[in-house]
Amino acid sequence: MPNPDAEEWRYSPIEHFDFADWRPSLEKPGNAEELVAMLKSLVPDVMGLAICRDGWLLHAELSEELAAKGVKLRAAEEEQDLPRLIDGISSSSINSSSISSGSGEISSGSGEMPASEMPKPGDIFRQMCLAFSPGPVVLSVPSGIDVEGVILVIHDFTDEEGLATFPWLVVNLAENSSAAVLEITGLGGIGASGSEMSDSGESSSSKPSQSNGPSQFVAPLVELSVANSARLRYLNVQNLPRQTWQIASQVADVSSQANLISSTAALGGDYARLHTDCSLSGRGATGDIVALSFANESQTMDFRVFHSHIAPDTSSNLLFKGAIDDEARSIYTGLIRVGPDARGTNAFQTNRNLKLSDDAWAESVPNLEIENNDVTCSHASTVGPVEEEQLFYLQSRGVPTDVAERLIVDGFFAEVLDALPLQSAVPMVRQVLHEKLPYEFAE
Amino acid sequence: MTELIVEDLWASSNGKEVLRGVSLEVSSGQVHAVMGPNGSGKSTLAHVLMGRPGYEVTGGAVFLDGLDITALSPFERAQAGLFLGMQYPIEVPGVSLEAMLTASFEASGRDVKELPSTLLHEAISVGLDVALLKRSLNDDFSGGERKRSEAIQIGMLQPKVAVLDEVDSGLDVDALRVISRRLEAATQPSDKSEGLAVLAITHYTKLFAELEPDRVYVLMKGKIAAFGGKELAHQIEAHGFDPWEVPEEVEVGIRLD
Repeated sequence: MPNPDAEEWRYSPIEHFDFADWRPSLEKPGNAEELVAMLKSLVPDVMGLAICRDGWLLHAELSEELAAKGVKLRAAEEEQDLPRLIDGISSSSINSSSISSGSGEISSGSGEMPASEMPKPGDIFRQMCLAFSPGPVVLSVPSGIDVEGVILVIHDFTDEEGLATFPWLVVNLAENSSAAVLEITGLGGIGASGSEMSDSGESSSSKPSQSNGPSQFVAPLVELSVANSARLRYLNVQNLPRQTWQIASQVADVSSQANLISSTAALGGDYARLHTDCSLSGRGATGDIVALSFANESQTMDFRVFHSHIAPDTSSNLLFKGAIDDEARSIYTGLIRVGPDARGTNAFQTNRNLKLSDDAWAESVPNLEIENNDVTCSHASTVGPVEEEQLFYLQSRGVPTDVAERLIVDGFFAEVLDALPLQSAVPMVRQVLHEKLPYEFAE
Repeated sequence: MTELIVEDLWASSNGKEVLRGVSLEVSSGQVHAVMGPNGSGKSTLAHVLMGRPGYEVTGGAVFLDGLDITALSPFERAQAGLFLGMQYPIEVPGVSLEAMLTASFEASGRDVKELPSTLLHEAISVGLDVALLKRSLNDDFSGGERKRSEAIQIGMLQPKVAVLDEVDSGLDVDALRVISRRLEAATQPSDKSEGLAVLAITHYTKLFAELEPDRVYVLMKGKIAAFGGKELAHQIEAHGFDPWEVPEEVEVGIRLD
């Protein structure tokens, strides 16, 4: 069990988590062919589509053009597909995708692991993913190939109570290649109505979460590996049902002159955590993170960012903007480490929290650890309600109070929506956001 | 004919009495000026007229067209035809001038179909870079751009009465001229209106070279100390506010320890 007193779990409700409450998904749940057409029209220019349910890959397709260029989107098959960024990974952990004991119970298992694979503190959920996931979906792009359009990865969930699932995505961009990946976790309310997902999603997103605890647990793992001079744009739309707990990990490595913009729109879940480890390991690497979140009712959004400038002349810009309403909570802790060799680092970190109710709560802890003097760093963090001054300005122009507040909240999100790296997905994100905000929007 | 009537207005801010019985009026097509030194209560007057939070009216009343607006919200005052041109227009991140005006038009039941083209026309007439119409309000605007934006809003919202707080501050000569012309045009009666009433609150006479006041009030320590025609403004330009200075009030009290 993670230690609730550890700094990494501070403010989180992790003490309520009990492995005994959960069982993994043991069988591939049906197929997803009925979703294909709807999903392909979700955003323009879908050039590849992978659909997973409960962490199982059910459907993968790629445009002929990309396939001919050697781009691959599939379950991990070969050694070269294997993720490299997680400690303690081996080919056996991919192939032993089924639960070895078959008991259908998850045990923390730490006693059975060899010492070399002992999880680092806080990494237990990653290790669980390695142990219990049916295996990763891998996108690999060969060197020199530019993937035009969007690669769409969907994680859908059955509504079985007590299920623990481990969606796993690996993106490997070889040298001087580029791609844009949109990963949607939870389809509720997105796309056409009438499918089983939107039924469960819509009903759960409109209902307050139950006090009797989460009904599903999901521990997604995402690895983004960006080789020299490659360029990756990644957006995760976290739209999980309201009763779901998420403990997500994202691990990224950016090589020399490469560029990663990783982003998330966090909207669903009951307790939804995202832990990001990003290493700027090659000279001139850039790694930006953009995150938008909105939590209401009893939701908790929890962002833990660890950003490491390892090589010289690396740049990062972290922008986290979230609003909290009702009794919702938001946690942001961001640690930017500038290593001894990382001269010429530029690192900027911004976290802004808009409180829409007196009972909402946000904690923001931006941190810097600098071991080199030749750096430019800044961080800013704010937690506060809609500014009275701004409200007054709009009111004095004849805008009614409720409309003025809506405009300001929408404006608060506009900056972060504009910064998302997949602009073609913004209308969809905005729609999901608007449905959740307590205002009427004309779309 | 529209009239703004301020009747024996008392107001305080942070428990400190700032306005102590201000009475004045301005009607359609007229330009009235309120002049006073720093600390005389000029900005307080402007904000209290618009109902800004943080000020408390402790006495008196404000009427717009016979309607007592003293207790109305800023939004209701604006909808009744009052406008406040601010000395420091507030930045509203993510909300454009166009979005704000659209919301205001919709709230008052005005047609928004022509809004974008009218707005473009207004922007060009006061020389505001049209790219700013879609950017966050006042965000990274220069002082001149902010005031031009305020002038555009008067043109678009067509208020009956505009209270202008230090409209000339932060403006170069060209910008001042352009904005004054726009205001002057608004004061002219047309078939749609009897002309804008302007209450220009200012420290300096700079504005009046371009926009001639019909009446000048001198505000000293929260009270109207004098009023007269535009010659009063010339007198202030030459001699300052000293002629109306009153000695510091001395509080006399007994301490009981």
